[in-house]
Amino acid sequence: MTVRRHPLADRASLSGVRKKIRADLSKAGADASLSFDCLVAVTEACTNALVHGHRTEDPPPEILWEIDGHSARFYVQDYSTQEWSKTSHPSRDAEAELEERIGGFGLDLMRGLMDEVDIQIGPDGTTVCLVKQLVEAEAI
Amino acid sequence: MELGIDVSKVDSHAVVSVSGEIDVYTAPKLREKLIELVSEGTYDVIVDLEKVDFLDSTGLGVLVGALKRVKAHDGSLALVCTQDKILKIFKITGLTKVFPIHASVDAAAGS
Repeated sequence: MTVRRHPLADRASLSGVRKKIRADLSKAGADASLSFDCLVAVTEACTNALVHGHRTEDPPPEILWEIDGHSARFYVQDYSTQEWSKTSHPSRDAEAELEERIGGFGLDLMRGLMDEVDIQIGPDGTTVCLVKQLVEAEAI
Repeated sequence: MELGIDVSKVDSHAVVSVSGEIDVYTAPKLREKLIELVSEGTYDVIVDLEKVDFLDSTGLGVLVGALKRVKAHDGSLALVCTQDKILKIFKITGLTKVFPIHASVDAAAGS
């Protein structure tokens, strides 16, 4: 199993974090499609931590990932007590409503791309846990 | 990875060809280019995503914002994308109902 922890210094660091995760997923045998799903979901959580969950007086958010041949687990932690955006689509039928929701698609993507999404908001910050199975359940 | 943006003309459309990764760090560059086009009077825009390796919700927000801007001038914004991984992002968010998505620039320009 690969376990790594990485600080999220700023928005510019996200590409490098994705590169490291992609390499670990590839090493674990994840195909390109599964890897892409993980990278988008992780980026959403990291972006939220950097944009909404980080003030200059807070320690920087960080990401920890655990990847083996069966699954990939990602934990994105910020240390802010600010409210984490939990918005989701109230309706996918209202075109006008969709167009109004600029930038509000992050949680939908995390839920749509990962097998498990858990958001824990506590007094010391927010932890987002994302899980993706890398092999079919019956093959485990 | 750097975000590449190239603008060309096909008929009356501005074709914005994007390459690389669109995320919270790079998306402002695309937003600025799309705003610039509209402010110059270009209201029919095609965004070619065929060379995009990565797209997240910030990128989607930029595209939705651009759609609103061109529609305010009775314009149009179409996308070119055949990559399954990128199309999946639009499907999950319901944006396939908002954007016309074509397989080629020619198809987008002719629609």
